Amino acid sequence: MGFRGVSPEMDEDAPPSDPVPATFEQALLPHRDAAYNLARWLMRETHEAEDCVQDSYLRAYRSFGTFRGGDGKAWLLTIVRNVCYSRLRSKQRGVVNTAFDETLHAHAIDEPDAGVWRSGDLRALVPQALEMLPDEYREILALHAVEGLSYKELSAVIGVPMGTVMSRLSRARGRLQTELQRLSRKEARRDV
Amino acid sequence: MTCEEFRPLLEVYVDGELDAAHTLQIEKHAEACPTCGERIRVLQQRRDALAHFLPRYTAPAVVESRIREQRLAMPRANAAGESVDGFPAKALKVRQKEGGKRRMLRWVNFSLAAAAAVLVAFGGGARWGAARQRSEHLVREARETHLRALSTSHLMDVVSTDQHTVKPWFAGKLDFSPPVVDLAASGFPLTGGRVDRIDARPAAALVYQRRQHVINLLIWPTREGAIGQIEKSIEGYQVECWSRGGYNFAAISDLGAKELGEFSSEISKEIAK
Repeated sequence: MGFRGVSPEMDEDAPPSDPVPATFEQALLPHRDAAYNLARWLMRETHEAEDCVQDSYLRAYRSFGTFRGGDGKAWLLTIVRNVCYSRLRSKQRGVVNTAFDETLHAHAIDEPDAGVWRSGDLRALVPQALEMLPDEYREILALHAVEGLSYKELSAVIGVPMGTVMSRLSRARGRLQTELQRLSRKEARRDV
Repeated sequence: MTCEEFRPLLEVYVDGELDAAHTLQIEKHAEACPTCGERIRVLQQRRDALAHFLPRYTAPAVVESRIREQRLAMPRANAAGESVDGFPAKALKVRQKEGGKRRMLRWVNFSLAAAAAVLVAFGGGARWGAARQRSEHLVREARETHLRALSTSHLMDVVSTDQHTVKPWFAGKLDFSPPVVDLAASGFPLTGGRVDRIDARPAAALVYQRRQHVINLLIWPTREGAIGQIEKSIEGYQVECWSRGGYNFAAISDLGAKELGEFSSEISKEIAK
């Protein structure tokens, strides 16, 4: 079931402790879905997301010389988020915008609500609820819940300490739950 | 510890990011405390709902072709060796030097990768199904466990090269007594162990060494189901799983498939003795 014999990493002549340096394609192309997923959740729109991913790969290619191997995915995702944020900011220029503030957006009491996670049309409502969150919360949930990044990886990609990762993640889930409760109530009213 | 002290740790626990010592404390506490037990269940439900109902968007094919076209259109540097894209010329020169030697190799590598991708795509269709999903989940989980152990420097709770010290250390910490063997004679010395989690249950984690490479070997009973043979490489890590003598085994390392294969067959041989 393995892919022995066709893996490009398997070079019998090279000592295993000195792996062949990855090419741009090998190191970064496999992560295009991860890159697109993050861009799509941040930009909330297909074409913008495609442009951001393409732009990110261009930037990645230009600075590939500084890439010292290791986690290509984290390296690429850091670029993707920078590209997305600068686009979001230029789009929002002129619009009165509440800057993201960890304490302002903090959810006072995060009491996990059993009911809201057990019933209702979660398939439709959960993505809707996420779309409504501030950029930083959409980002961390897209990376953690969808992409499956660990706290450590989140800390590297977002560029904040582990403690901030934990608290931001917790607040993001709390906020999402609040939005979901609101949407479920709206849904219930419509059904009546 | 009290409920209030456990509370902020519960989300971290549910995310599988808590260290083994606190994990055990929480599990013991939750058995006795219905409030915390219920809270954990709700947090798990929330975590699963998020993972399940949030779609992972995948890049449309046009994205890949645009990336490739863009990459081919990019010059490395202009004739004078100056940077054409704001990148320091010196760094570009270094890359050019290695580029000359390696360009050929790069394209050979690249076509190998493309061939591999085609094979994977074909194999994928045949293996579709629930079993495949479980095995993919296990492979990911095994790799994450390995990375977490390495990155939080929480690799070992008992440091010993002696299997007769490591095995008794697990007594009372797990609901089973894992087989522990040393493979120093075959070039895979045992260096220690810890309690970890996989497949939604506690597992014994044994740590072996090969030169500078670490191998994590997770062992748990097949009571809740044998996992069968899995071999897979995932993002630079090799994962091999198998079941034998009432136990599931998962070996993870950055070693190549060949060496990890040697390791797993040595383990099976020693345990059968």
